[in-house]
Amino acid sequence: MQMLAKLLVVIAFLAGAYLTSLHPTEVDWTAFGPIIIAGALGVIMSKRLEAAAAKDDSVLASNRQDLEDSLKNIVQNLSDLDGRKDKVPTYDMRFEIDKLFREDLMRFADARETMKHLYGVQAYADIMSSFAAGERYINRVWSASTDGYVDEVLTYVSKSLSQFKHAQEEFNKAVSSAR
Amino acid sequence: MSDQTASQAGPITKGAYPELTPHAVIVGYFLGAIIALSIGYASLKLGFSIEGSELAAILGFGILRGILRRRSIVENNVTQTVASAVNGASSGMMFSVPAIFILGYGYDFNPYVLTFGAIAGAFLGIAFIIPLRKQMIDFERFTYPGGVAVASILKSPGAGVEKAKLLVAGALVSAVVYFFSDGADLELFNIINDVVGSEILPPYLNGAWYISLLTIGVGFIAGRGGVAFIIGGYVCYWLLAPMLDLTGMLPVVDGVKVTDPGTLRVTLFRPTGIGMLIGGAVIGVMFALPLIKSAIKSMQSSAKSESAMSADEMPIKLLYIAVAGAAILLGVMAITANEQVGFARGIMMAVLGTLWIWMAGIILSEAIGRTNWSPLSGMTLIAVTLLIIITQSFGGMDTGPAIVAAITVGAATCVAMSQATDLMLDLKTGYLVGATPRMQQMGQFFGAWLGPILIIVLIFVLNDAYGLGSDELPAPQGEALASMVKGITGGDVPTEKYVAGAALGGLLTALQGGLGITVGLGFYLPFNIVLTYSLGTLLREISDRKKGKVWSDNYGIPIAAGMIVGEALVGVVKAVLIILAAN
Repeated sequence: MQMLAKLLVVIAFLAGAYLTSLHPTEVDWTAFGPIIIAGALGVIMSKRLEAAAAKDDSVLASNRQDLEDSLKNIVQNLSDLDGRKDKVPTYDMRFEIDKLFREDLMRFADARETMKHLYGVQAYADIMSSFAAGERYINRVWSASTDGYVDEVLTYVSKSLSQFKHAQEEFNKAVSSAR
Repeated sequence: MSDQTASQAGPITKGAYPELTPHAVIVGYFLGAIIALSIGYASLKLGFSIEGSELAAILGFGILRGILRRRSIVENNVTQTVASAVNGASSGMMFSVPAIFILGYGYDFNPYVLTFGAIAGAFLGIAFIIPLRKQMIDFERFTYPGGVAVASILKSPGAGVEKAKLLVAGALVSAVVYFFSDGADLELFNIINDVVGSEILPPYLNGAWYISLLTIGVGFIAGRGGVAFIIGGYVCYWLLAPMLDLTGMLPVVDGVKVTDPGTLRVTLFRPTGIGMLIGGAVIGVMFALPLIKSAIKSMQSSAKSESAMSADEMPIKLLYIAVAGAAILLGVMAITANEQVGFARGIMMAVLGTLWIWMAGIILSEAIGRTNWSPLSGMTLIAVTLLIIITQSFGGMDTGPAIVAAITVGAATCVAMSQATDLMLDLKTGYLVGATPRMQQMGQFFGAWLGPILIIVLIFVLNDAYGLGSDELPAPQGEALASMVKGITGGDVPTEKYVAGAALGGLLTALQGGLGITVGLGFYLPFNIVLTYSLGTLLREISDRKKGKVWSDNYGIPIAAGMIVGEALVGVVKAVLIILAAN
């Protein structure tokens, strides 16, 4: 059904594009109007089906699990790294980051849209704000490690941890509110 | 700051990590001035404009690390931000101001008002981007291929010699190819037709491939994000054009069927594409409003709680000041541009200009975020068109003053749009290297004032020396705008096609966010670019499937980034050589 709805929009678009290409300045509105209405109906169908699927899709459940697991891993690994950061040579910190965080950061980011469906746009914005700041701080640790700035590396490992903890708090808050 | 040496990797430094430093700003000014003048001249001569970030990053890299022996990726990022902010005026003003000269009103406008307006426009563009950064980079995580390429450059020394070698190899090959190709096309279908001995492939199929590794590199970095853009191009030339031919509906001029793809693009497809960009943007803004609102709310609440991340951002209050400032400034500019404008028209122009800066800022940021192509000239054309329509209200102004007022305000909005897009690219790079957005935004403010001054001086000098629109300096973008203005004042605008295109773009964006804009770009741009771009997308798909995403990230992207940098550098060197030859 979703395929049919999208097909309707695509066909309407192609037919409309053909009609607009018939003349350099004019458009045949009597033919163009019904085509756009058909396309709009396709969009409405598609959106309704999407909204219905969003409520009971197994992908959402799996994405939610990915979100929880990846955020938990990030916080856990970062806490561990924060505890032993003095012992990691400054120039090696970037390798630790690539090894410990890249995969989970990507996994969380890939599944992020699910949060909109499950917890609403504002919760999504609040969680992503903290998550993005935490990721940016991790990237800063990577850069400072590359350049050998030891204090910056140590400071931003901690700042990043506190940011991801905040993201986790926001996430848990959103989960509780959704129940 | 005390240094001590680590046994294996290099010096260890205590203390603050240099970011927005005098070194970064001064080197940024130096590079920005060179790049802005070179690219500004080249765009008048050749009709192209180059995004300055990549060049500034690699040149800044050489100066800061190579000569000044400084070691800070984020400082390098600020230098690149300052330099590209200076350069932002070259595309912003070269799309608009030359049209005034070409139309014969070069000495009827106040250059001080225009320059001041362009500077203020630049500041407003930067302020308007504050909530969009959060929405497009933090939340939507758009690709920004150019920004990723720059981040690859900045991170090269840390990622090891291997990545730097790949980047340099990509840059060298790309530079050599562009040096010899000089932006030419590979006319593949003509070659096939010649080999076969008859025209088996009709010209409208447009089998000319733009010889540009930069374009392939951009397609590679954008990956699947650019597929809709490619589809837009193929729909025009491989579906609509054959359908028009089969149904006998191709245009006929002087009894001859028009099959030239360039003519079909300009007369049939591009106006629809412009409409799609607008319609896609309007619907996109409607859909994105809740998220933009949430971004602002989220920023307000973190500012209230004084969290660490709120200190990283420019205050959200700046946006509100910018909105009010934009309306007042554009109003003053419009009213002082010519005495015929009057108060009512001035207010209308100000409100429209302010809305357009935001709307077009969103369109351009999204377009460049998804595909690395920015339809700045199209957005400028629309802005000036709307402004001229206003000048014709309340009884209408004389043609000359109307054009001067519309282009003066249009130039300010164009610079604002250009700065907004440039800053978004730099902010994406900053995100990837861990820079502080506030430092970058301040760097952009530091750089934004210089470009308009340099460019207005350059425009007057070159106009006095050669005449804008002459054979020596054809100023193709200014010519396009001038033709458009002549068309409007003569009542010749394809309004119906814009409206129909807007409906189509809106339909696609309603189905999937951003789709109307990216497909519309495929309608808008020449197909030779789309074809070459599609090679990059194809290579990325093959690389992801056969070698894996990690390989694409570690090897493919540095090579692709090098390809972008190499060709851009040759472009600037060529521009400098042209300036030297002209002198």
